[in-house]
Amino acid sequence: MAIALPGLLERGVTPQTGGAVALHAKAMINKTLTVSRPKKRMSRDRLFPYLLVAPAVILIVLLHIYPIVRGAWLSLYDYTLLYPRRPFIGLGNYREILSDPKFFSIFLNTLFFAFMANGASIVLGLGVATLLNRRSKGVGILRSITLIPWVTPPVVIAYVWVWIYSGSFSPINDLLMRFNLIKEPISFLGDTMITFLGIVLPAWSVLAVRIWTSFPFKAIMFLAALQSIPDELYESADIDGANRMQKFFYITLPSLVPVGLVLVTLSTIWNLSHFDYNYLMTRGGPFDATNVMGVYIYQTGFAVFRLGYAAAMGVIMLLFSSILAVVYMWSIRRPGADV
Amino acid sequence: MNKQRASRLLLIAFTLLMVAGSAVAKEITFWTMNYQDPNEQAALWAQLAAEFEAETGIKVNWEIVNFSQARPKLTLAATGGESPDVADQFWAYTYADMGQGQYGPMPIEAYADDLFGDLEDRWYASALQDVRYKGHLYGLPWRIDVRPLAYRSDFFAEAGLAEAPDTWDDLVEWGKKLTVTDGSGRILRYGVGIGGDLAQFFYSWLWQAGGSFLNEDFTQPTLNTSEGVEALKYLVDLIHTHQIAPRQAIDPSYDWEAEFAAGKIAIMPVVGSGLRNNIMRTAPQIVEHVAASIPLKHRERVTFQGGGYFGLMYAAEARGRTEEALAWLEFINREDIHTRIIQQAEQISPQIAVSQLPMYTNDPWMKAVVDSIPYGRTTQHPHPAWGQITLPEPGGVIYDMMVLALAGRVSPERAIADAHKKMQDLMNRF
Repeated sequence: MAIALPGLLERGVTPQTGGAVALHAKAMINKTLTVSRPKKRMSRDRLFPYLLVAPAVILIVLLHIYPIVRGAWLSLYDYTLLYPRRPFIGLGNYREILSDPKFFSIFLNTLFFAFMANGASIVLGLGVATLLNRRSKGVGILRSITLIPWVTPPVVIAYVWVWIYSGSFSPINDLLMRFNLIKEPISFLGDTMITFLGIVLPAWSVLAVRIWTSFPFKAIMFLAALQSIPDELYESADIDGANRMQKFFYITLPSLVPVGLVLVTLSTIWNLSHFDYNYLMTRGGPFDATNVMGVYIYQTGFAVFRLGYAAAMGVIMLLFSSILAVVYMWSIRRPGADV
Repeated sequence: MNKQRASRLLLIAFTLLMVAGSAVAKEITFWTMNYQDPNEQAALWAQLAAEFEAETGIKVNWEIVNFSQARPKLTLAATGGESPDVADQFWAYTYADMGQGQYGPMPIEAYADDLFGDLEDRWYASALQDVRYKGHLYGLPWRIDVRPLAYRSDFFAEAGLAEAPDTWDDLVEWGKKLTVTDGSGRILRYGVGIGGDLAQFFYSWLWQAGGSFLNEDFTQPTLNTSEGVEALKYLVDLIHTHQIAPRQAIDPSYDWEAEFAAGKIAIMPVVGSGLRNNIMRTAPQIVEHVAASIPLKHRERVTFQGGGYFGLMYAAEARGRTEEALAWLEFINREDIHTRIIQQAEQISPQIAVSQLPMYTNDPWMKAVVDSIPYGRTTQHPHPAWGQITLPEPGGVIYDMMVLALAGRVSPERAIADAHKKMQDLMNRF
């Protein structure tokens, strides 16, 4: 065993050089090691993993756990930045939330946007992934183009769509009027007289943008899953005489279920806390038609400065999202899960 | 050894010198918001700070705060958070109440006579409303944002109108002449616009009708009166009865300045004085047709006026820098320095003498804006809840009232009554 000795090494003396001092030192160290090394190594081995994860743990505690705990604590106070008194009121904020009709209507809005955006973008993503999975010329370019809505900054997308939806400058209105489909321009983000399935036009307009911006991620995930399905399965199906629909429903779709489950769960959690487009395009209006919990909590906390009340709503949303998070964790940890 | 001892002694002497120096160094901190070109603004404040330091020996550590962060930062400063010694501020009433005499804006009336002379001689009375509250003076106005009436002179000429409307009745009459439809009845251009910050927009109409938001001691809302209903009903009628104003104002993404620039609106009855500069940037081809006039009159001729002031914060007193902060305040309010500041910021001066300079009087737009200043009224925002009452988006009391009424969802009477109750509830929380 060659041991490099600090100090001696610098002077060019190593056990291999045959120096008397070095040999003596080596003997001493070996003696010491035979006595104490297993114990030290054991404690070092135990410590080492903790050292590796420590930075991540510290960051998670500082940036996630502490704000959550602080937020939960804040929710027990009537903490409004504008008022000098900030008394402890226990569950007072939660009681107020439960009697706040606006909270419930916005919560329902949030569910509508979350499930509609999620469902439609998954269906659209699956369809686009299936198209992009074909081996044909130019498919690489198409895959890149597909990603554009997802990689463009939300602020840019929001303001472009505000103009596209504008009552006066909209190219959609121009087309519809050229084809005599409408007589007057439509204000897509302002006209609450036009409804479909009981939902006003501004809500559908914002929803369309959310679907358009979120489907590429799903398409790419499904594409990756599609490309991992062995060709042999399809070849066997061909030999058995399966048609395209049968191959899709008996081979493709079951192979995509694990990815689909993860996508549905994660995407629902993200959609429940969505803020960007509903705020940037309409500020949640008109008449709260496009207001969602992310926007309402922001407005309550940072425009009205009712931090305690906003924190309480945040805690409720956290608990609601946690249910989905538990489902997600269960789905990826259960024995035999492919994800 | 002697060398080492000598160098040690030198080091100690230098350190002592530095400590002593820093103990007597005069420094203050100053915040202002961003106005126009950031490089030009930074260069100006660096230059002013250098000139001030050369004159007084006081160093100014200045910082430009983004306007989007101004409210949270001033709120924190007024509630014990980070605060400069001197700041570019607004809403003196609100922040003075929030600070409770401990934080935020610091009264300076004890020093005003010596430093600034007779305020009424130098500043417009309407501008001084913003900084006088409960017998205190919280600073000196440096910019004023009075809201005149703006119109397209080319459309006026086309309709045979020689001058701007003067009364509410005129506005309806002018609006009808200026509204243009195609053969099928589709409106191509509205005579009158409604838009911008809908809460601020409503102030002028309420005051012109003779109404008010709060009672004289700022403890009760006074919105639910016949004047309040009349003001809101007039606006609703512009859309639904006379059909001379667009209902898109309820769309939060509606940009009425863009509509005006695109020739889809002829009159903007209450508009920010910066409109002309905005048009110059976005639609320079029509800027020669953009004209302004003094505000409309119904029972009163009055218009909303925003503004900003430079004032001390209690932090200056706590740090023992009141004298230095006052010296800086005096410096930046000198007529020549003030002129440089407003020229860079492209703002209207609330100083009477400066507002009569040729840059204002030789320019018809600027002249109309300056002529509107005497009719300006501040927003009566002497309450911590005022921010939520006038929040310019869904959730704001006045904004929601406007949107519900303009959309025709509720009657003006009902909208006013509901808004009044919400105001009362919010104020009761304090």
